Amino acid sequence: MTGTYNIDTLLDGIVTLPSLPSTVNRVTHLVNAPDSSLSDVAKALQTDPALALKTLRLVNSAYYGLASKVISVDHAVALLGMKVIKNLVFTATVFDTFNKGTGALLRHSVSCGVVMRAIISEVPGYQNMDTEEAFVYGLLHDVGKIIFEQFLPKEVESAILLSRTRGIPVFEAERLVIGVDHAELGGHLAQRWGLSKELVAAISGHHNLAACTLETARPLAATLSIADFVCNACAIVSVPGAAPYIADEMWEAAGVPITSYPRILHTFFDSLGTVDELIELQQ
Amino acid sequence: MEWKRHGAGLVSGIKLSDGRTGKVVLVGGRDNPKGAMLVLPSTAEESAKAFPIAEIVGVFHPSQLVEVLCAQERAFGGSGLNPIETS
Repeated sequence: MTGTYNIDTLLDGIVTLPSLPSTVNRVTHLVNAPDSSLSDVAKALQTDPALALKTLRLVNSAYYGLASKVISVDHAVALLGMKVIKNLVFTATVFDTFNKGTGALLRHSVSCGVVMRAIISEVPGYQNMDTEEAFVYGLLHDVGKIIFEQFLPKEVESAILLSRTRGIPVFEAERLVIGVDHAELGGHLAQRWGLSKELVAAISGHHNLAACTLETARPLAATLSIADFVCNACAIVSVPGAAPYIADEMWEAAGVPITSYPRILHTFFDSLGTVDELIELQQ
Repeated sequence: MEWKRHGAGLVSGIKLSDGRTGKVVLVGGRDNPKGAMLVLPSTAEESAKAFPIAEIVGVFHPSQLVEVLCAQERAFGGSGLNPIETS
């Protein structure tokens, strides 16, 4: 059995990758520009009232645990800094995209973000990544599934059925039915959105390190796979009935000491309330 | 791992990375140091032994350790995860 498409034929008329809203592009550009100021970022954000409001709701959620309420975008930017704001705006946008997907996928993706955050918190200096960036990695790792659900719902259903009947992981069934798996498609979407090459490579390789074309991103791809495995072991699955699966190579590639896993998991379990809150913010 | 209910606890067989086989027994939450135990059966040289999982994490493959700790939280934790399915 071989799939119908390859990534080129899939993107040539079958699937249309969504663009990022212009405000998000503008904010990302400003954050990356050396001569831009906090006020420039705040002004750019204020041009999209819905996004500004969603950003404020996120800033004021328990996830950020701020002592006092933030009531203006200027205040939020000054308080959290440009990098956090960029990730926050990005998170708000991705949540909108996820509303096109299933509730299970949203819960799984947010939970993976929270596991990634727990790993960075409990393994100091891991990959020089901060917790906010780690959250975005987890949030986006399965973004290819939204596109599949939107454009190829019947094929997705067949892949899930095949996964169950053959006892193989869903991404392998996607390759057999569609010809492309959600990790490969998600990597293309991240690239189109102008995300960092590390994030693009980590998304592409989160089920198969050989697909992670950037050597330096392999530990992150492996860590994403571990976050995915943790969520599946907790029955926070994007596909009902999916059994936990992880390629053995991921554990060594991630380089997280085994003694760290109990603390990582405890931090994750203690943070599960923030998963619900982040999801409720989208309702 | 396949979990079986045993009284109020859960039990699963396990094969460790050094080839030894034993059972993981879950009887309480993560605040209980003996809530998750590894039980190794008696051999010709040694009698049966039980160890708290938290004290011997190095004998597990990481995937086993994660599965055990997640199963413990699902069975006995208060974080609202779906209960563990037993055979």
